[in-house]
Amino acid sequence: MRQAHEAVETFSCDVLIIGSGGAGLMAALHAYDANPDLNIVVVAKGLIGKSGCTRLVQGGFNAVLEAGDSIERHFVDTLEGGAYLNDQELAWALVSDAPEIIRKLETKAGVFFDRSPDGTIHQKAFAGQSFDRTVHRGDQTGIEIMSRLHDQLLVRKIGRMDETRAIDLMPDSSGTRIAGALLLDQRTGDFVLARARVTLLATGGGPRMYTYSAPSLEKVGDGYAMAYRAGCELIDMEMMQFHPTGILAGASRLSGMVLEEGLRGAGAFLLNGAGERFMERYDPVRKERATRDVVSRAGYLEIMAGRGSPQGGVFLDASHLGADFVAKTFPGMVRRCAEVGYDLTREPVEVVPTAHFHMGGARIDADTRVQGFDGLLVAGEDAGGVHGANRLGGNGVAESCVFGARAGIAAAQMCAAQAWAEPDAGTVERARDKALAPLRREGGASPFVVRDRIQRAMWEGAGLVRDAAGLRRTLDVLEDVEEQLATCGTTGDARWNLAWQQALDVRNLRLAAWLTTRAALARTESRGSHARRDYPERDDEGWLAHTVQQRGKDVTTLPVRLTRRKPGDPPLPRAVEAARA
Amino acid sequence: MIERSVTLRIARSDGGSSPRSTRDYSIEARPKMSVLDALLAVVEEQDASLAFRYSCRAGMCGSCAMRIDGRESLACRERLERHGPTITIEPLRSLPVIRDLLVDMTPFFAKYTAAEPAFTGADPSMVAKVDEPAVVPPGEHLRDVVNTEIDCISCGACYSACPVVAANSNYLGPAALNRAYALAADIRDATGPTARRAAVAGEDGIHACRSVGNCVAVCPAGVTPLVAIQLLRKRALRP
Amino acid sequence: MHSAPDPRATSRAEIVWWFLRLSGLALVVLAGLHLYAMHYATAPANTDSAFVARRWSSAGWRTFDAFLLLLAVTHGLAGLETIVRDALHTSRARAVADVVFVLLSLAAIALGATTLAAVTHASFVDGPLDGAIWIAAALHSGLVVIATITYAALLVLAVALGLQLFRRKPIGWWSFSGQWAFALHRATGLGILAFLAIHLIDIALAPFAPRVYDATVASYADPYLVPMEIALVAAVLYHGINGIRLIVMEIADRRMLPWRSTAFSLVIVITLVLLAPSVVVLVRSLP
Repeated sequence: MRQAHEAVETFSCDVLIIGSGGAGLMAALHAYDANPDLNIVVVAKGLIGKSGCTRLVQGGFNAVLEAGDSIERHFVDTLEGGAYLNDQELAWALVSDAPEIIRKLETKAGVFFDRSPDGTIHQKAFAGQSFDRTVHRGDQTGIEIMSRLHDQLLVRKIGRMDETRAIDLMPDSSGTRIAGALLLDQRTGDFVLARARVTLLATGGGPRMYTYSAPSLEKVGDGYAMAYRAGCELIDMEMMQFHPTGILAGASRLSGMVLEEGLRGAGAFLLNGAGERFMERYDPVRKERATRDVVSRAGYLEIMAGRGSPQGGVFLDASHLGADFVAKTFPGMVRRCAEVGYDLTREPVEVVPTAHFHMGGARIDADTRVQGFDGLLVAGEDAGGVHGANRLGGNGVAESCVFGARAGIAAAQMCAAQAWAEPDAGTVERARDKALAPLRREGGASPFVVRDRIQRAMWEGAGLVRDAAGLRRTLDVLEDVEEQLATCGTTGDARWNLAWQQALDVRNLRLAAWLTTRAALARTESRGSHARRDYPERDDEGWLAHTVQQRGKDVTTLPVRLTRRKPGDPPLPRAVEAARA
Repeated sequence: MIERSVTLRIARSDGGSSPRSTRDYSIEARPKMSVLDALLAVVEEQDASLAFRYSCRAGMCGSCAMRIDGRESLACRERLERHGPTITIEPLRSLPVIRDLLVDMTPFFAKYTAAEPAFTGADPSMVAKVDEPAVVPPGEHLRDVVNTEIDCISCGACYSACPVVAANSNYLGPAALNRAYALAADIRDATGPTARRAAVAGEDGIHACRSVGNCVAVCPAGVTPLVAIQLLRKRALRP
Repeated sequence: MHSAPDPRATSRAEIVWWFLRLSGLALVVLAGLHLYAMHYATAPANTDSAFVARRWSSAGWRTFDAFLLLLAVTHGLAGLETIVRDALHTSRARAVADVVFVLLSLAAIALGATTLAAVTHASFVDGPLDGAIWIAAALHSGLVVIATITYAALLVLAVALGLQLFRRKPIGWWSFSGQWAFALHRATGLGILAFLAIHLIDIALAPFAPRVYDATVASYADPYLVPMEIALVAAVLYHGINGIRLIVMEIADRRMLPWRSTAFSLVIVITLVLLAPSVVVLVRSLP
């Protein structure tokens, strides 16, 4: 039995990167290549290069590569998808950099994207886009991107700490200069204080606060919680994307895992319990190829109206596309379905809307800097504003890689000008003690039961369709959970104590859930992924603004700066698809 | 749905050279549960000291590779329904055990790195000039093999199942050599045909493979290191 | 770290890899013919000194046997060295092993060469070492010991496997055909090499002590040794046929993937089919 001890080991580095997904690894590679003398350390909660959600990306990466496409077109698609809640400078950076990032991934990291018969990169159709621009590798694009980025990491002198979680960002005594972070080595139970000139927060957000959710099991909103506790502004936290087709797999935790959008892009149908193609009622023009928010909500309403499938979902039916076609185009999906007893090539599969991506996050500028803070960058899902009220499929991994690259370059530049700061000793001690607390207590609530309680409350009250009463009930539960957590005890060995780790997870999960619910209560309109039963209309007059939450303040708003385009601007002319070989 | 009780017979130890024992845990096998679901049920309801690793629970990250009923597999993809009333669970072979089912992947990645696994473009720096992606017709020679081999999720199952790795701790192993082949055969890679030869054709490289084939039998991603190594040998023969 | 290896240098491992396969193919022919002559065309108990004299009166057969000796010894020791190398990891230990194996090869070849050279002067009726009749008893005892060890080992393995299956304990990688093929290939290789060591010594008796040699050969008809003799023929057959399977697999690479298990089953079946006639010959020759 090993006790957790109070001593905190310290080390110093130039760039501390918390998170090893697309954003974290792109940042590490860019910072290193910009200046190989930098001491860069990548820290991840799981195994670097394997854990996280970039790896789970199935569909693909949107980028303008064809002559018939344009940056402007991608930009407009992104704004329309985001219901104009996007930070337009961030969205513009995303679509402008995406083509070059695709080229870098191919020609420098060795990622192999699928090819068309003529040998050029193949781009497939994805929902909500006016041009087929989704670059992909089979139906498992993320594995290829992450494996190749990780290879590149291995051949550079970049430090790494696997299975080490960040407890909190550590400011200096001023409070606005981030001097590093307090880390916890999960294997040994030891705390480590990392001093860094620049700290990049790239933990990947993660909406695992719902009963059905898609991300990896370790994703609990650590980034949001740490940013909020450090005093950053978190915007648009109510914007939670549900993916319409999460697999339903009995009592397995596989439930919630996504069956990719490309299935609907290729023409698959969604049927309710009565065998009806219900999207004809909700979006007669686009039907199943409408954006995720529309399709998810439709599925949810069908289920709530009692027209669901036996397991409480709806059916995804790709069988009419031809068994061979489905098997060849979506081998990963077919295999995943087969493992839980479905034949995707020949029969309908039970699916449910699943919490998939959190559009909200820390407020950043186009270089991933956080206003009001020194030495802190945030990139990837931890940051908010890029996608507005709803993310287009294919724009997520694009965001991670684009802003990860920007963060890496910014970090290298900042290191040239920035010295180290001293983390405030009091803050370090308090953070460490708070983290140790569950390990020093006995009995109390089980962190696993508390987690389930949060998930159920969020699913019922802060899910796909919300109203004030439901949101308030959820906030009550979350406050009660906070009291429960204060009693939660997970005594035992400090080494690889999964209950202790879950207690730390639940602390952050609760905070992320609370921020989401609070913002949802504040936004009295419906826009994109946020649907209010009591405010069903979109209100551009009063609500073209971000919700903003900062520690110590009530929810405020920040008008969206329409720097490049306004809602209602004339649409672009229809794309003329370039002739393909 | 008839529910039954399943006994997980789990190898436990404090790691290193400390003695190994097994402990039985009885859990209720609910519909479509995987071995990972069962292990999490043990942690959440019975014994939070059990150590094992997991992440995506969907067969994509390779974190949960272990030996289930003696065979290497991903715990998240082994459905309880396909196993009997008692399921033996042990850590991967040939890797140092940290605790219980948690193994140290460092030697695995050290060998992987020794095989020179990183793609090298014309200008490898991320901040330098960016080229156009290569034109690669789908029918291009051996691309079909490369496409299979790049699916490796570095889970370590092949490494554990290989008797040569078990006998010879210097042997680079199937995953590392498979990666070396995928690059050697990739027409987009800028290094010449002899580049990786020194790394992989040495004393404990491709010629130490005994063509056993356990790697192919256990790989959860359908990768065929056996074939990749054979092709690397053929490639290594050319000057 | 050591200096970067020369990318163009042919490694020792590569040379040994090639040698095992080329010599293996040659041995399929040479050892196959030899096996036929010794276990199918006649029974081993009938290969007395007169038989040897008849055979070695032909320069063709003497040349054949010289090549057989050369290849069998070097192939066998290269194979043993491969196994030993897995356990040795420093270049110094491996270099020492290399020297030991080269010396053993030279010793064996020297013994064989001396034997063949002595043939032209031998009468095959009596010889200078004929007084040492204890050699025959020693060789026979040695074989009885090896047979006992072999039988005991097989029994233990069968019981272990049976218990595992009976108690439904997982057999792990023993459920893969490739694992069995690999283990059997090494076991048969080692068995043949052990036999070869004794065989070189006993055959050397033929020109130098033909009466001792005859006594030795007669003692091989001991029924206790018969299963081991069958096992020996089976080992040579299996090792050669499986060796061919390995070479075919390595050349065919991915085309052979779906046939892996079938190929191994085929090796077992062919081995048993070819083994049958030699068992008949052996049993018929028992007193």
